[in-house]
Amino acid sequence: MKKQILAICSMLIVISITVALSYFFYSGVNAQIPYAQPTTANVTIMGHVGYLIVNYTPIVFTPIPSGSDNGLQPGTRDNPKVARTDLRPNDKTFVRVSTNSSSNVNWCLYINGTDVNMTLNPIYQYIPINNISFNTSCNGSYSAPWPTKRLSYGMQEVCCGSNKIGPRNFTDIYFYIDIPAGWLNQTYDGALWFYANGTSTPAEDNSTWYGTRGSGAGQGNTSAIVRQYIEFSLGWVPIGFGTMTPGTTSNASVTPAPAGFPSNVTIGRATNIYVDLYVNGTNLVGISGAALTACAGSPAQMNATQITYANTTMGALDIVTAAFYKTLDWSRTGVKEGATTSNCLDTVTGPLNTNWCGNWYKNKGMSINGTVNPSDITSYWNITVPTQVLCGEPTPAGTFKGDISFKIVRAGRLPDVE
Amino acid sequence: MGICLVTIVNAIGLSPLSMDITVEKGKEVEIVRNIQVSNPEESPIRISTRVTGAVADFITIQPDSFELPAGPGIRSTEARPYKWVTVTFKIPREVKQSKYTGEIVFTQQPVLGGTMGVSAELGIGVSLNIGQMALAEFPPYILIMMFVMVVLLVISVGFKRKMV
Repeated sequence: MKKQILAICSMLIVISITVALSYFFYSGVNAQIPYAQPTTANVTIMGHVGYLIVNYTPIVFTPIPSGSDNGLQPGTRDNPKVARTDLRPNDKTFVRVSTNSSSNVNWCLYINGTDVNMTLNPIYQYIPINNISFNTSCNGSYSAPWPTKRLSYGMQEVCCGSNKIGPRNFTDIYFYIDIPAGWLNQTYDGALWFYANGTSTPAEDNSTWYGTRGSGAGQGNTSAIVRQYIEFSLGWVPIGFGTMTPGTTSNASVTPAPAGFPSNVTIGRATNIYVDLYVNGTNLVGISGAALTACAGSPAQMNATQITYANTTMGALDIVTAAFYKTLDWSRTGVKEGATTSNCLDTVTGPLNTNWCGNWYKNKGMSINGTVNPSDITSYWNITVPTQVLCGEPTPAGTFKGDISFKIVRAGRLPDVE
Repeated sequence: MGICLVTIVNAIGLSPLSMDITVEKGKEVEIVRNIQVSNPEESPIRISTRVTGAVADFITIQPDSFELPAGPGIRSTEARPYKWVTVTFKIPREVKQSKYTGEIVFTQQPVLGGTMGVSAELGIGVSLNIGQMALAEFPPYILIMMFVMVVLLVISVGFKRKMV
């Protein structure tokens, strides 16, 4: 028992001494360590950009999953980078460039890249690099509107000078692409690099660059799919058949003066696939004069098959030969039945439809250098005025009105999908 | 008698050129797609839309009529002005067919003033496919666990009876 009391007392004594010594050495009053002298530690911290972190790449401009009919329309500008969360969770509509935690200086950001080449055949066609533009706030250094710049092969300054980015800070860059008119329905991709340094010295090129190059950038970082597109125009002026006598035939080329002759259907420069052309129309209905009331008070009608057309695939000289004219198919609802597809042009690629007739031409307006030679399809129009109108009355005097519709479709496709 | 075939510049551009939509049978679904309609010609145009075929019952188009400003010209490489048209598919729970087809047609309005109107049309083929109804399928480990639980239940019941 005595031993235990002694041991406890010894422990209390040791603890007391320890506390007393601690107080002596570390208290505010007696914190001086005997013989300790003040000293100076000189440490020079180097300016260090750190390394670049590039997030939300690649830069995909195609808004929906790829497919032959999806992608970007040729002949459009400023298609933005899209957030493809179906490809990458949390993807954004911008690219975020930042420096890592070891960065301690303001830094300049530069960028360069390559053309956006057709994936299958890069030599054949590409979207020039300066079709890509970008802008950024340099994380607030620029106040809106932010200047928009275009990419180039050489280094482009993104943020520098008074627009440097702070250490460990970031900037979000927004990208846009212009798709040239007529570019093929293909996938295109290119490369892009980001560079940073701590000085305002302009970067010359890749080989002389002294700084840090962004990770996560490189080949395949810009990607776009161009989708199928068709456009056409009917570039005509009024075609006058003039005043005619029932039972006669008139051709716009001979009677009267050939205003607007011949008529052109033009497949536009931006069209990037083969197309088929169809035509359709209605009967001619009297709208003035005796023709307005010739059929028991109702307007007189002429079968629209009285109108015939020819196109350049037959040759201009053939227009005087009736056999080469192709009769319009008027079997569409509301007009005279009976015309058959056998009346349509015989150089058809796609199947004909009873509602539409024609298929004059097919065109893929694309040359090897990526430019398009628009295709003019010249047409010639002819009319024979019958001696009596559809109600059996003699053809009255007056003006007749009708409608014609033109339609182009992807080659081989039916013009009507019912 | 005067007959005049009147045509002045009509133009239209369009993409995409088809839409294939597949939905699951027995579900009420709403799908939204976009179409770009362009004007390549150097004068403003007015476009109207319509839907043909059986698929028309499921489609609404917004806007169904609109104007486009003048473009750079049909021969130009410059960008064309365009408008986004929203196509909304609303497929009810109950549908009879497994496939509905049709066409979304864009027509440039014929220019008035002549005696023979001429219009330009482009269409997008639409195919709406109604897939099979989804069947519930348990993964194998769930089936094994269920089997083990049944076995244990049988054993415990048998054991209890034996105790009684």
